[in-house]
Amino acid sequence: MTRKQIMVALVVVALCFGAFAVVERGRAEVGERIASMDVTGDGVDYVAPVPFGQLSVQVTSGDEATMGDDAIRAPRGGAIVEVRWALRNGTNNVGVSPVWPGASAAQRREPPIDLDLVVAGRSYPIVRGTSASADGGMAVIAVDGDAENARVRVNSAGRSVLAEPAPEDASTRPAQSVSERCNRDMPGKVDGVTCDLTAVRVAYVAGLGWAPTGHEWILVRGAQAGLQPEGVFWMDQANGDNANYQAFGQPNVTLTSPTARLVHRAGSPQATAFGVALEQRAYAVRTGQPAELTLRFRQQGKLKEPAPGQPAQRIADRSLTLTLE
Amino acid sequence: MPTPQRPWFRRPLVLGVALASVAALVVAGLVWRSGGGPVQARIVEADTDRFVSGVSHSSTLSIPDARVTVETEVATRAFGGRADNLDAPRGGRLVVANLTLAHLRRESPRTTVANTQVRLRAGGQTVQLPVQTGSERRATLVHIPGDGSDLEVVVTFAGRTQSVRVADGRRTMGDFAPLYRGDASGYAPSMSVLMDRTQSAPNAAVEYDARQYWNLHRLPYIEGVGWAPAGREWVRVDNLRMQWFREPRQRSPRATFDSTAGASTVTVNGQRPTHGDPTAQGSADSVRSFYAAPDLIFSVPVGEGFDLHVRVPVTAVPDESNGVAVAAQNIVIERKVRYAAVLTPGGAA
Repeated sequence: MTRKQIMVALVVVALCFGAFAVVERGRAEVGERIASMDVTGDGVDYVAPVPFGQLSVQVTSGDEATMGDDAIRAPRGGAIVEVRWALRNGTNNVGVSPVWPGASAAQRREPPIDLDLVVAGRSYPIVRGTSASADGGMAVIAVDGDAENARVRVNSAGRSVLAEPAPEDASTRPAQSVSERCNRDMPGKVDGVTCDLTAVRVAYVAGLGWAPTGHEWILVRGAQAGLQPEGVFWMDQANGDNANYQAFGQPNVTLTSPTARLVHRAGSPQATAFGVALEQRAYAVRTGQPAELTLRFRQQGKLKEPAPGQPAQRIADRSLTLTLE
Repeated sequence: MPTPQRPWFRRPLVLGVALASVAALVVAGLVWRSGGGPVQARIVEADTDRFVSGVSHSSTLSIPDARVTVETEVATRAFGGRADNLDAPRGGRLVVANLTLAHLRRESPRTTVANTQVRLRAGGQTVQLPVQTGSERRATLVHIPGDGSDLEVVVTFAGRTQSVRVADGRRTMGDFAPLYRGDASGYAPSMSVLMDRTQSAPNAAVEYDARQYWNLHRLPYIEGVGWAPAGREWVRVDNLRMQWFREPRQRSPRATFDSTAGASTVTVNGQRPTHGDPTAQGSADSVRSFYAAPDLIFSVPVGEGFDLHVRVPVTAVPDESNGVAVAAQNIVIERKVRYAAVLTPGGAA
């Protein structure tokens, strides 16, 4: 091969490289993060619980990311994926804080949350060290493989889960809280009983951590029941009058659940002026299964004043049931 | 013997021109990449009516009694306006920023604005945005260095600073962390309201039925008081009232009462307030109030639970019963409330 032929070959190779570079210019590399551009298309919504809050994620994939007239194309055989996320802290109008008694200052801090995009078995970091109180954000990442099944992995406090497709009704919640009191309209013949039951359903509690795998926590604080301050309950009589009974003996207050398992208690039941306040409790209920709680109050009473046809002693027996879906 | 003829590509002139061309290309490339010098973060138009077609973000930061929202849109070209389209400097971006400051309460809006500075930070440089309130929404057009991926909103209030990174929302909360506990009271209340009744035991010497009100806030900063000491937060108790629900009776006659004679105390974990005097009886809001305290401020470790104890001694002076004087009775109306520990937002920082 003559020197001239070698020169010509080198020039041809250089031209080919140049042409390839021109063609490939504007194409992202796998794993590259693309700033200040977005991807046009229909996003898919996902949700996941995070400690003390809820994560919402929208994943959109396409062939290019754009900003005005500028564009960056996907790698060959890959795609460009835009991930937008929002974090919501709080438990929506809940009367029970998800802090277990005795939780340390470190346990009461929000654990850091890491998000990764998972495409075709490969992970791409989205954000590190965010938390439920952080603002939302957005990342545009060039990935290898088919992005149709792109998912977001959520790592926090030692647990790693894939965000689940968001329910269609969009009524996602970081937690559910239910509060109920005895009231005069409740069925039953006995009256003069007071009771309070407030419970919250959450995935994570400071001091307890995540609920057991496949479960959620039901926290109950300050469940209490008793009589009206005068220590009297009464039964309606046929003539419209009340037969009043003065309480005696110890009141009996129980909290039971047919579907949730009692895992932790903090403290012990406390006597109040006319009843009992139960200790704080943590139940575990299977994810997706309703949790039913029943508070029951029983108290013996003696007839206060003679009432025709009324027994000298009766037992006030009232119960209150609430369900957390 | 003839002098050997050099090939044309080995002639000094050709080699010199080639080397000079390569050097020129390298220099041109470097100049092109650098854009002729570093980009300075600066305001290009303070009250712009230009628009951009870029990626927009909304960042919200909480400060005492107010919330700062900065909407940013990063782009390479701005359209419209009084002049031609405007391109970003090479090696930089254009940002259109909209800033609003919304007050959570009506008091002291001027103080809040005067105490607040909002900056954009990128590539280690900052540019200060004009702070407006309410409906004044003016856009500011800014040059920033870099591609916008490290753009941050930095808010300084009363000498303390917090920031949020626009793209991924990560916050550096600093001393502002308690303000991010969320509005849902159960999550970790920044404010809770107590309304409850306290009753004497049946057949007590003086029977009473009193109710109490107060609002309780956990705050890192209070106007006029300043920031809480390091590692602590303020607990402010305001609108503390005690009222008779049913007026006290001493046996059968009704009693009138006087709370000024006794020394009322309000304590948190047994400590008196650092600001405010609970013994001073404030202006009662109705004839039924027998005790009203001014705003009281305590300090507790950030997020810790605490015991609040309100103790109001009163003298019950019975009305004369059938002309027979009955001795006055001293009673103490008190209320103890345990406030549970709450979350500390902001991660392990």
